[in-house]
Amino acid sequence: MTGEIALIRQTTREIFERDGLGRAPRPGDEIVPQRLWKSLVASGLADAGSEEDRAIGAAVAREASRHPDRTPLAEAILARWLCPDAPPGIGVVPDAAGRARYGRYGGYAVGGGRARKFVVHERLMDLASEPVDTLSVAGDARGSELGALMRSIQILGAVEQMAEMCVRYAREREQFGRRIADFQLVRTFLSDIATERAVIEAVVEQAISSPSRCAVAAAKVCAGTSGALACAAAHQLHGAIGTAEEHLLVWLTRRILSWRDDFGGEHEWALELGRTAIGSDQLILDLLAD
Amino acid sequence: VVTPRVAEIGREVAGSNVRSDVGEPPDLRRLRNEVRSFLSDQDYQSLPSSWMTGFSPSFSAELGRRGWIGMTWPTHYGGGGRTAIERHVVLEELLAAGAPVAAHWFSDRQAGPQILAFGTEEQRQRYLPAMAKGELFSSVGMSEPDAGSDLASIRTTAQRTRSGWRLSGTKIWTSHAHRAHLMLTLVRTENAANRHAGLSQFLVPLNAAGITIRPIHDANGQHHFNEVHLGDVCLGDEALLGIAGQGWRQVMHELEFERSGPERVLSTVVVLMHVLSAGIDKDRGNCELAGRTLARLRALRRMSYRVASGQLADDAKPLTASLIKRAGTTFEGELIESCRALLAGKSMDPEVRRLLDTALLDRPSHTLRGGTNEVLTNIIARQLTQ
Repeated sequence: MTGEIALIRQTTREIFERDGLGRAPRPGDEIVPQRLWKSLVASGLADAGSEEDRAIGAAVAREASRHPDRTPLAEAILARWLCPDAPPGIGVVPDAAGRARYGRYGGYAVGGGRARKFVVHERLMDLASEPVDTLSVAGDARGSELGALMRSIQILGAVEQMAEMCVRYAREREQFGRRIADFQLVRTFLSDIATERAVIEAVVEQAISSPSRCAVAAAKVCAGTSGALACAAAHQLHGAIGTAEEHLLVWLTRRILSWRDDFGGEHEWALELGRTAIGSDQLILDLLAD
Repeated sequence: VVTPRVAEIGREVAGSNVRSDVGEPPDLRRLRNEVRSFLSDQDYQSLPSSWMTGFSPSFSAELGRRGWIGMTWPTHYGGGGRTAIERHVVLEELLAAGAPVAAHWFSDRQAGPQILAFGTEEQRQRYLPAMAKGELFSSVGMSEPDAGSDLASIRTTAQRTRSGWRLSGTKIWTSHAHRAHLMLTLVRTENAANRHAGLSQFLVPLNAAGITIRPIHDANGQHHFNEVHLGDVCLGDEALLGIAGQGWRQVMHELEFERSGPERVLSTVVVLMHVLSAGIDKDRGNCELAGRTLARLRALRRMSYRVASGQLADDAKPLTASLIKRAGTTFEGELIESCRALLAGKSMDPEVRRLLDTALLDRPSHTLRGGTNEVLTNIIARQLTQ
């Protein structure tokens, strides 16, 4: 399984590197780069993984979120998880209010556990310059759970990319005659980013293998909270260059800060976790185990 | 003193009230329940950081009888021949209950594994079975008055004599030296150009002539720390552990054990456990705070679990262990403030008050013991950027 996952990640990376833009999107770019999207669909990655081998689709989405290109890849995989018997095509997954990322690109929308036809009521772009549309179909509870899991996986991918960028930059960048990696405070940022990355990875991988409501809640709380902490540390480490619109770091930050709000932000999921825990007759270790 | 609430909770969970735990294999679940049911029958005072401060030879002997000390050591040395993850599960339960496990903790975690890895056959047979029974306790002598974070600058020496070694110098922050049998001691045996060369480890019997032990009381007024003075202590060759001059390498091996364990995450969870069942309000602020705390606890606990379960590649272990210690001990402190916030405006049960106050005063030591967070930050960054 581990070998298979590594191969899937590598394939995904190669397609993005070969057919993607290789830079942050600019105003005027097509939202979904057609050459890339055609390759992804042709490769079968957009259909990667049923609910049984969730780890496969998770690996694709995790890798895709490292690259700046905008595609409905994660939505298509999420829709397959929820609706394995849906007809061929790209599914999108609205939340309880009918808001769906990349909704306008969907052939069907998942609601009430099945694939449904829909119309788009409203088209908007979000903080990450990704389309978020309001559909005539609303999502269900399971959609929100796996949706929250998918966003947590994507945030993990983006934070991983961010962490690697920080290590590279800290080794390359010199100030005061030495590389900034040798300053103790910069080392603190590097350690903080590595920590938040590891925190997200630990809960997200647990939730991928066993996505109970509690597991998903913890994953989304950690992804939202630790993701934002990683953004702040990464920007402080990069200095002014990291704030330029065309810098990949800006792009990753925009996504993390936007994705964390989908399917319930960390506040809402924390509330639910806490409500279960306070006054419960379960031991903490059990509350956290499933 | 009995802690009824913990005992009650233990009983409930050992009974029928357990939600099925899909994440944990049934054999580990059974072991977990076995420890809980044992704990519910024991009388002890719960403590935060009980692995540092809860010293009870009789409790340790009980654990030894059940095979919960030296669990991973081979059976022919009195160990349990069990897996690291089984040991991890037992430790989690003991820590979460705040059970008094300090007497044998340092034998189980450090001295025992070191003897197993580097000791002679005679040393293994002499010490390991008694340690596993919970009858022979070891302390650890590393820091010195002038060598804390900079461990390689220690000045305690061992010099060759005709019949063995003569040790002189002073160790400090040696928990339980006044009631342990041994001190696993790092000394300098040679002045080498490379600071990391010329160090050696000794197993020092604490009843040897020339040893003076002075108490240091901690912020809670408890006596577990000591200053141990070695005034020309003469020991035979059998006291040397491993190879003379290889002490630094041996100690680094030990620190890997030490840094990723559940005691770097769960030291204060016993307080939260009491607070969540203390009748606190279920308002928005409390629920969100409890939820955030539990989510991070889940992540840190999982990180520690993954190291024990052998899921990580060998080259990823040292970095992960340092991350766990740095983030886990920081979390242990933040958790106490969260507990305080959850209790705000409530009249506090005396038992909860005792646990909270003890934890508050213990908090500064979390991020110091076993390597300060600043040293860990350097280790982490060095591994990332070298």
